[in-house]
Amino acid sequence: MLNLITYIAYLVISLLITFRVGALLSQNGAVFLTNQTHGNERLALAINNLLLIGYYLINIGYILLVLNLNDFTLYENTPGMDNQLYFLTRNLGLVTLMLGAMHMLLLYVLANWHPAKSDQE
Amino acid sequence: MMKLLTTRFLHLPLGMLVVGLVTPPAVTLLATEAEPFMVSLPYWMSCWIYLGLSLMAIRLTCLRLIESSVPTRNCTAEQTGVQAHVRTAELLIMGVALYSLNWGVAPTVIEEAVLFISMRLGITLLLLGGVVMMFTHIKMRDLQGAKK
Repeated sequence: MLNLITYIAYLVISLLITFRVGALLSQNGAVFLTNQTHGNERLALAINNLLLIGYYLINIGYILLVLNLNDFTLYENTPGMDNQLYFLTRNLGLVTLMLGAMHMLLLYVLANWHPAKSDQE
Repeated sequence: MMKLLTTRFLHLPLGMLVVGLVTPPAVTLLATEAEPFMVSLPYWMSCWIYLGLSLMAIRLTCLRLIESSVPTRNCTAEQTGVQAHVRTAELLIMGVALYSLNWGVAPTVIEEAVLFISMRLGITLLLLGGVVMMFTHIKMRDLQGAKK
């Protein structure tokens, strides 16, 4: 039962972090993308939405996959909640590292992306 | 949110979730003597919940991809092409999801069921994320290469 509570706590904390970071990145990135698309807000919004969907899917998929990296036999004979704390810190650390890596990758890709101006502009 | 839930896109996944969640209590109430059948109920629930959630994720992603695909000049042809690609991806990922139900040991308790669902759903979402990122990359590359 304690393991199940740990799983739920891990899922809630990591999903909250993911959604908060996603909202912040999309909010601030919209301005940056509008500048990259030469003021074409519709195009910037479309790309921003697509990147946000991809970001959520990859991160939530990773969070769910990491849930299986449990090693509750590590501190089997130790009393208390050592196993659960170890699980939470290690997995939340992995999730935040993944979020950071995704953020840096997206920044790198967008900084090197220079779309051509359309005829309408 | 309610409008989204009532769209025909989500009828099948929601039905799957209902089947997965309603059947165990119904069986427990109706067939109290069927002990051997009860052992496989966590597996039954896990399979249906996983299939419902993955189909819901796939359909919502497809809906968003079709709706917010990057606008280009030739809209009709572009949208038809996008829909065809998205449907193909949906079928492929759903095939992987169905195939993955046979991997590993069937869960017998709730804790195992959580791990059963999370691993498979994680793989499905990662695949979907890969499709979305690939789609975005192709669109962005096209825009970069467009002539002035």
